[in-house]
Amino acid sequence: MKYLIWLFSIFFLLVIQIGALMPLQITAVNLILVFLVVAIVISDFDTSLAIALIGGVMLDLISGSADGIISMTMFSIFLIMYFILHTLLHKEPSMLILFSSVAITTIIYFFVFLGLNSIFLVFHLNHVMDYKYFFGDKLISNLFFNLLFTYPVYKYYSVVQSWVTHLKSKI
Amino acid sequence: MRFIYTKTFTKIFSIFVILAVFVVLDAKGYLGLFKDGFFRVYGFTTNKVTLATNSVKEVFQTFFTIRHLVSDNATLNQKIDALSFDNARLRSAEDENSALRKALSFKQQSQPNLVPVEVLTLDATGFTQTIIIDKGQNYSISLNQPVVAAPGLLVGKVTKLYPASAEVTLITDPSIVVNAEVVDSAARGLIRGEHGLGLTLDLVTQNDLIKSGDQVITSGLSNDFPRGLLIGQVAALRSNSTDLFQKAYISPAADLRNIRFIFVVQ
Repeated sequence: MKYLIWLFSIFFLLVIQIGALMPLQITAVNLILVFLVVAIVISDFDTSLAIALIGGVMLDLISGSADGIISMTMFSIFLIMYFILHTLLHKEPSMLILFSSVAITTIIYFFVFLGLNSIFLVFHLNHVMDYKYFFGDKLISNLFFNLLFTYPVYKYYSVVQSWVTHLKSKI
Repeated sequence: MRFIYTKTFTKIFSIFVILAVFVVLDAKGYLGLFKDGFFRVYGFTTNKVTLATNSVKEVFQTFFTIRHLVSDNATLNQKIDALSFDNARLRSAEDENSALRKALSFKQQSQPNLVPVEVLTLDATGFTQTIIIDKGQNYSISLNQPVVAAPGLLVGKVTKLYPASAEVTLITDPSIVVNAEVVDSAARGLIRGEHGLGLTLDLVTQNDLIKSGDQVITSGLSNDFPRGLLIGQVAALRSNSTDLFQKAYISPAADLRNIRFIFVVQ
């Protein structure tokens, strides 16, 4: 039941990203990635892992890339960020950590995605990507919008988490 | 305790196995029905939210555009007059062309069969320029068929097929290359997408004359796209006389960011 709520909350976030932000010409944002970072910073291992998997698969389904590439990217990001935040840094979550994590994760996301893309290319499962464009304009605009939406996504995450806690206490 | 015997390792390993199965199933094409279902639910919800967002956007846009309405109206009326004249002239030329083809026993140009489709969703990642449409193998849509916005504006081509939906890669994606021709000068070149930012016309020889405002159509040299579909118009030249080939920026004729109803050419 807990994971079903997370599934619907990710689905809703994806609907907002395409249905509400794209018509407003805000295309360079990844709300699912921001949602995952919030989960890694303030939640436990299992919840973050579930969000990485559900979010990755949903993004994979609606993206034109080969299926599995974004799920693997999200999963790799989860492992890297969880290790950095909970093993190396090991500090109480704060807004500074959250915002800097979103910035670092956005950069890592591009590196991991394009790295995995070159592996998928070996098996002819994806297209050749223009690295210059992705590490230039695309990365900068993604960084800006991901940081801009960090606080709203954090608030949304808190609301969903309170629903999950409420449901747990009832059961 | 060694890490491989921990619960954490088991979870991570399980996820790896799930993802590997997911990749294999997709590559083999076994996820079609599951994807169709997801696209329907997701597309329906997204379209409702998009409609609501657009109506709010239009209300605010009205405030900014209202003072230009009178001048815009006059300009558009002038354009209608000019286009009506062009239309009449072209219809007469088309009749003449048809009669001459008949007289010379040339092959008559047949009208393509257009299948109307609705856009379900767009790619959210930004790594590719793709859309999902609501018809697939069930409407005899096949791979590489061109997709147009009425009336004959090139949008892209079908790149993946599912039982009741299909993926269309837009011409603004770099993986799509279109053989193109500039209408006025008959200069030929290749058009490639620039990640949703626009299009580039390349490999045009220096002997050909191209200028801003020229219309660019499909040349029909490759079998992917039939001749005569409007791609866009030359926005600016981006090469000089010392380059081996001429390059130009092309602005797409179809509004690729706000497409909802399009046609698959069969």
